[in-house]
Amino acid sequence: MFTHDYVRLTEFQFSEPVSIPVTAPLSLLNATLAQATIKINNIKDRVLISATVGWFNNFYSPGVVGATFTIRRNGIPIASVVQTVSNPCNKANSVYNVARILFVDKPLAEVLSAGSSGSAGIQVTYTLTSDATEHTAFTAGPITLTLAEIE
Amino acid sequence: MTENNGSQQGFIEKGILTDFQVSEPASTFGSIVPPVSIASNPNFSNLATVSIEIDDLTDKVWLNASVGLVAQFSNAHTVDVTLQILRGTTLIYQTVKSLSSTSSGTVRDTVYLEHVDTTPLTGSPSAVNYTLRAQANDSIVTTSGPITFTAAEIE
Amino acid sequence: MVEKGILTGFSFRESFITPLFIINTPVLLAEMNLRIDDAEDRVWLNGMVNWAVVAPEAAGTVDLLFEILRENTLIYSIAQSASYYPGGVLLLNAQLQHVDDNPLAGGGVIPAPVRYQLRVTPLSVPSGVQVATVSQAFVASELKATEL
Repeated sequence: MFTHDYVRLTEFQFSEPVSIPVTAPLSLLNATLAQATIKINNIKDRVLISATVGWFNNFYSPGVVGATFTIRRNGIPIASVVQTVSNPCNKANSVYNVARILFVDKPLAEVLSAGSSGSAGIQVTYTLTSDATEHTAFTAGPITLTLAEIE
Repeated sequence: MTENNGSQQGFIEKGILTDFQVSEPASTFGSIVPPVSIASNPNFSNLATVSIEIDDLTDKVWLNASVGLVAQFSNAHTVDVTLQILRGTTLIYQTVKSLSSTSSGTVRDTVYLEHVDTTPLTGSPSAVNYTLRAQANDSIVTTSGPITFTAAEIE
Repeated sequence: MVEKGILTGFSFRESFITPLFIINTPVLLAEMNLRIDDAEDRVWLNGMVNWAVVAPEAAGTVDLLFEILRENTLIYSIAQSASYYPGGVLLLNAQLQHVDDNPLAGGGVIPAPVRYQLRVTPLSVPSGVQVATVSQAFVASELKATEL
């Protein structure tokens, strides 16, 4: 037998700094790509996090380059994706990829200090950051970070 | 609305995902027979269209699309596929995905699109149509599925 | 007009700590039940699988098929390849999204727990190459039916 909690999506926050590629790409090295804040007020609250990033590397010879995308909760890393692009051609070439992080966080137990719960809730900030193995890795977008609170 | 009966009940919030529509022309790899070719510049190949009724200027639409792609290479090379989401005829999202091979042969890959449309409506309540389409810079790309395009209305 | 929230169920499995080697048989990555209480409910399924390839001394291509099953029935699959040079290390991210509009296909008494599985099946793994999953997330949301 199982109980049926009354589940619903109660809050949605997002940050989409780029939805159509920009002409001045951003280096992926130690970069903060997006940030959004959501209010949590119940120990059982879950945050469904989705982050989607289009990125590329400018190759000048054959090779493989890697990029890391990390979701942080109040600065602390909680989920990460590492992804490579390959250039098999013996010529300069830009190779594109799309990374998508999917993660469900249960933040309140981690964030709460003693006795500070209540219907007022507390703000939790999620950040999407990146890093790469080469300085030739960039994002021109799109960059999308969504937070859906599931109670 | 709050309840205080000595238990953990507390404040009950409203569900804000109020509508969900999907276009999923293919749900498994290899199910589109024959595979659909992805067009080259200046043409695009339409992959899916989803329509959702929006009634409020403050509603947002959370769009998610996932596509399986196939490229048939005759030598070591890459091919770039540009994918777009349009609202009506307006471009609202674009991403690029490369498929790469170290030799001749077939390569498969996945691509994901995610967008929050904050201005789905310009006037009175209506159905909003979103189109997912793709273009490749070489005529070696097809899709045999899956293609999944969803629209969630968020209040 | 006050609309009702239609997301009424949610379940997930995620793991960043159990890498699994993929050789020549399907590997189950995650499994969960979602309670469905209406035959018209839809289930919005989302998945992410991160995987790695360590190449041997020859070039080649690995093909994997990522699948979602409902009670042993395949309902979704997507393929991803890794084309490698000798000695290469590749890291990949596969994304899955499916809407199951027939979750109670098996029939039975409502409410019913419906079992969803995330699985990876090797289509082609050349000899000598190491293939492993690194992490995955699998999410199911129950959505009430709405009119078009």
